[in-house]
Amino acid sequence: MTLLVLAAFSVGLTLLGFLVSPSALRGLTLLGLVLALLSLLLTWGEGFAFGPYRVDGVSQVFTLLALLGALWTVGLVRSRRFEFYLLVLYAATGMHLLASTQNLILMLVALETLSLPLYALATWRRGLGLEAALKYFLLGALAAAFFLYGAALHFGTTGSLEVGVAGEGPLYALALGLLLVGLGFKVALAPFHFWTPDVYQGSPTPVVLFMATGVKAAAFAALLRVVAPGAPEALGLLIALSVLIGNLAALLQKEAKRLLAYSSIAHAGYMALALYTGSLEALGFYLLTYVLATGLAFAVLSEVSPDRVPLESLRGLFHRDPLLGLALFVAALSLLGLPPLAGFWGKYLVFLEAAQAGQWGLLVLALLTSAVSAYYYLGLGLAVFQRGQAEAAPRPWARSAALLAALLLLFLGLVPGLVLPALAAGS
Amino acid sequence: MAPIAEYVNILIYLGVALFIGLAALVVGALLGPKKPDRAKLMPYESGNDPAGEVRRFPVHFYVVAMLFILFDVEIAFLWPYAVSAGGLGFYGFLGVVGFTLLLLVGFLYEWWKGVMRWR
Repeated sequence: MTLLVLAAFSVGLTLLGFLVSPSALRGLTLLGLVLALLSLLLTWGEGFAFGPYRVDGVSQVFTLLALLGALWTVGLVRSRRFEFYLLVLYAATGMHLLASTQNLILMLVALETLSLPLYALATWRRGLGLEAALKYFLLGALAAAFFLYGAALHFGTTGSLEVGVAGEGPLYALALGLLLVGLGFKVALAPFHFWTPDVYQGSPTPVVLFMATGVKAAAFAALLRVVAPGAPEALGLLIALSVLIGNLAALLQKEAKRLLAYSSIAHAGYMALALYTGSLEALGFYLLTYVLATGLAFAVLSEVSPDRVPLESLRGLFHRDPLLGLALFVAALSLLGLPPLAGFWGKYLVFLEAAQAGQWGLLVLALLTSAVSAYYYLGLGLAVFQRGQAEAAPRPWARSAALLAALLLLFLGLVPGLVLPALAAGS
Repeated sequence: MAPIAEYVNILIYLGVALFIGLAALVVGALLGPKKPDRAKLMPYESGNDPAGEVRRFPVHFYVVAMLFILFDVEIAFLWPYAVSAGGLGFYGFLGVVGFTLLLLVGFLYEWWKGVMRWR
């Protein structure tokens, strides 16, 4: 149902874009995304299967997050060319597909359906983003090749393209490893994270919002299917590297988007920890809070400037526009995980699951690096209160979206119990 | 399935054609006067370089080549259906129509976008 809505809208609007104005197409895209969201919520908790396309709790949770990211991106952007909205729609279709299959070939097709539009979106403004887009494309293609080779080996050793089929021997381990590398690129886990800072810095900020929220949610859904049945030891190493490199490198950044890129690497590490302990509930809730907080941060940054945002340029944002300044402050604190905000409960759940699973080494490392991250998150959050000349010409829509996200973060932080049963029902 | 001998016939045909072509080339190269000089070896057109300095070619050629690859792949997918249409029934027909419509949408998009226009 959700897939039908998304596919019909993306294909239909491709032709309709010639007949109506870009702003009308933007409205139609928003309508399509909202309809997809509605169809998702109406069938929440119900399974559906058609061949290798299978909707279950996992797919619903992650599709919800991806659709939220897509809605937010389309809401922030007013493009003169209608293809921008179409590319977001196509990518959202790929994300839903990636979250709702256990077939490796369909997974690869979905992975490319979501990646190719993003390669084009990364270079939406010519010139500046070109280098970033090229890097993103080449590394993404390499990752897809890793994934394909892994799928081929998986088929060769087990005779099945379904994930979770038990296998043995070194070739099967190699296949799982290659699949892990391919998906690790997409979620930006540590040894495969090199593209993240450059791409996040060079791409247009609303597109980065989409990359950081939607792609991460969809790729984690795939990672959950591929890795969770028998989590390999190697994943523990990736988690340790991610939280270390992400948090330590973020300390040195002078540019807000680069800082958030390293922060997203660290958060990928925390989410992978939830996955490592096999807790869908913790992973889903963490992703939800992460999507809200990081989306809020990027939404505020895209109001400040569509290009690079040095940390100095954020100074004085609170005095110039109290709402945006406060929103960025809330986002930074939630990403850090301070108690009255939703991010705290996300981290708390993940650490609790890790403790119950007996992963003490990783838990201590995650706690320590999380404490280190307080330095740069507070630096980002407090910069808005300092004296300075921030440049911002916010639009009304962006302000209300920022307000809504900030309130949601606070609300989820105060009563996390409202959402958790829904996530549990979905799983 | 065709017997493998027919493919051998094609190989023989290729060999004969290659032999005749090479023979014609050899005859042409051996017979005739050979007095090359500078003017004769110039590319063309009364001593001028015909193309001159060219910055780059129009991107149309690239676009056409890319479209050709895409739609050639479409044909490659349509071929198996064309052969076994009866056995696949109405369901198979619907499937292939869906596939063709998807590519048709892509074609209409690029038609209206004007990439086929040579200006």
